[in-house]
Amino acid sequence: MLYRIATSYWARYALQIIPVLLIITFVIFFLVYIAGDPVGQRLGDNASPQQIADLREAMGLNRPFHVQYGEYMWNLVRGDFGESYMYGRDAMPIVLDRLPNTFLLGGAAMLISIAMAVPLGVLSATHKNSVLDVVVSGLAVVGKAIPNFWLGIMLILVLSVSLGLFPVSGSGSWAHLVLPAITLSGGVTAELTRVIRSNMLEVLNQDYIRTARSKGLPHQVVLYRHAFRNCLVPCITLLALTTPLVISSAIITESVFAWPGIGQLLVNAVTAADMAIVQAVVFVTALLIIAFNLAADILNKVIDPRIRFE
Amino acid sequence: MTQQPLMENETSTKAAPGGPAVSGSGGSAAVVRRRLRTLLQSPAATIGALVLLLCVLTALLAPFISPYPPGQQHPQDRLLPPFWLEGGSTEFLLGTDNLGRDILSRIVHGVQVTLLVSGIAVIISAVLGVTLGVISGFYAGGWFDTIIQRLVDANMAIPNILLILVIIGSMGPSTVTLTVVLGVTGWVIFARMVRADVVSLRERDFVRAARSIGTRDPVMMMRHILPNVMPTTIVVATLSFGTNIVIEASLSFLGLGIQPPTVTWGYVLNEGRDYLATAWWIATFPGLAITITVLAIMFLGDWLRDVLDPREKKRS
Repeated sequence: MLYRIATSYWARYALQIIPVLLIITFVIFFLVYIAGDPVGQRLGDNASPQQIADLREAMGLNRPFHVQYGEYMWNLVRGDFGESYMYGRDAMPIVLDRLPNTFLLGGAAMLISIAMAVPLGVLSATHKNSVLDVVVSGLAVVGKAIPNFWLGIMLILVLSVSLGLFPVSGSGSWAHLVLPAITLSGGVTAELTRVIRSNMLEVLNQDYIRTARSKGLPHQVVLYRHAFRNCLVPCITLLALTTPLVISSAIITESVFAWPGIGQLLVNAVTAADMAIVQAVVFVTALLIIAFNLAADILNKVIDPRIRFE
Repeated sequence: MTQQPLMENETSTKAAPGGPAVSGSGGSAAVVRRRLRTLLQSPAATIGALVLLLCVLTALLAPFISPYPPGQQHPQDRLLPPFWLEGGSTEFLLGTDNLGRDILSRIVHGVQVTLLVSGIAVIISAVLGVTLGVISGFYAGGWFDTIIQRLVDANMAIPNILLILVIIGSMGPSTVTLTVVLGVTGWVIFARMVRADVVSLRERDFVRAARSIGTRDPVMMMRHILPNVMPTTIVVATLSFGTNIVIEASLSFLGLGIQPPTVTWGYVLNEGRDYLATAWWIATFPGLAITITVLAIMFLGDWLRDVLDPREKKRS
C-alpha cells in the first residue's frame, strides 16, 4: 500500500524535479559564465595577458557558449564536475567525502532543535501568557535575530575559553560536535518552537481534546497523544522547509568551528576560486533539499492519511 | 475564496507616495499622525523604529560623532578593555583592538556600509521582484508566468547564499559585487508574494471595470495593480532588509564580503575571533550591534504586516 503510493508519487515527482534541476544547473553555469571566468583570480594580479590567454585556451573557455554548456551538461550527466585545482583530483568525490560530516552536524542540530522545541512549544501553549511563555517567546524572537556565526563565537567565548568545557574548534571527538551543533540548531529551534506553540494553541481548542479530557485521560496523555500528534504535520513540513536554512547556516557554522563538512569546503573553494568544487557543492545541496522535501511529503502522508497526493 | 474588501485609499496613497494618485485626499498630515499613533501603541514597534532611526542617524553623522577615524591606530593603547573594566579608559568607551583602534568608532562607521549595501540591495530586489511578480500574476497561467514559477521553484532548492558564493567565487569579493548580487538574488520572495496578491487583485471589480472600458494592460498594471501591491512590497522589503544585513555580515565575517580597509560589523567580528581569549570585546560588540539592528527590523516588520495587511494578522 505504502509502497504503491510512494512509487506512483515518485514517478510524478521525478518528472517535476527534472525542469527544476535543469534550471539550477543552467543558472549555475550561466552565473559562472557571465561572472567572468576565475582565470584572473587564480593567476593573481601579476599575471601577464599572455598567461591569462594561455590558461583560458587550455581550460576551453574561448569556445562559444552553447559548446561549453553542452560539454558541461554532458559531463554533469556522467557525474563529472571537473577537476579541483586545489586538490588536483575530481571535485565530486571530494564533496562526497565531506558530506557525512555535514550530515552528522546537521542531524545533531536537528535533534537538539526537536528536543528543545517540542517541550518548550507545548509548555508555552498550555501555560499561555505565563512567565514561561513570555520567556520562551522572547528567546524565540532573539534566536531568530542572532546571526549564527556570532552565536557560535559567543558559545566559544563562554563555554570554551572561559569555562573550558568544549574544544574551541576542529573535529575528531563528540566534544567537538557539541558547540557547532548547538550553534546550528539555534535558528531552527526558534522557528520550530513558535510553530509548535501556535499549532498547539489551535489544537487544544478542538472538541476531541475536550472529549479526551472529559473521559478522564491523564493530562500528559491528552497532551502528547491527542494534541501534539496533530501538530506533527506542520512540524515536519517546517523541518523540511528549513533544510535550505540549515545548509546556509552550516556553511558559516562549519567555518567558525573548522568543522570539515561541505560548508567549510565551499568557503575554502570560493576563497580560492576553485569553481569545480563550488559547482559540485551547490549541485549536491540542491539535490539534498529536493530529497528532504520529498521525504517530508511522504512522511506527512504516513502520519496523516487525510493528506492525498494529487 | 472570500472576497477581501478593497484596500483603503489612504493606505494606498500613503504606501505609494511616488505612484499614481489613487485618491485625491486632503489631510495627509492627519494620516501620518494616525499612523504614528498606532506605532506608539506597539512598544516593540516603537523601540524598533527608534533603534533604526538611531542607526540611520549614526550612519549619516558618523564622521562627526565618532571619537576617532575608524582606522586610526593607537599603538600605546592596544587591546584596552571597555571603560567599565579595570584598565579601561573613557577615551575608548568600548575598548580597542590589537592595533589600538577604537572599537566604538569602528562600529559607528560600520553601520554606514551595512545600511547602504543592504538598502540598495533591497531596492534592486524590489524593483526586479515586483515587476516580475506583477506581470506574472497579471498573466497567471501564461508562458511568462510558467517561466517565473519554475525559476521560483528552482530557487527554493538553492539557498541564496549559495548563489551569492558562486558569483563571488568567479568574480572575487567586492562591495559592488556583493550589493548587486544580494539585490539580484533577492527578487524571488518579492515576486512570489506580489504574484499572489495580483492573482486575487485582477479579479476585483475595479480591475474588471478598468478592463471593460478598454484600459490597456500596461496602464492597468501601473495604475491599478501596482499601488495595491505596495503594502505587501513594503513588508517584504523590511524583512529582506534584515536578511541582507545578516548575509552581508556573514560574508564579510568569512572574508568574502566587503573588503578592508572598509569597516563593516562582520569584518570587525572576524578580526576579534583571534583575540577571544584576551580581548572578548572586539568580537562581542559588533555582533551585539547586528543582533539589535536585526531585532529592531523584525519588530518593525511585524508591526507593518499587522497594519498594512489585515489578512496576515498574527494568530497567537
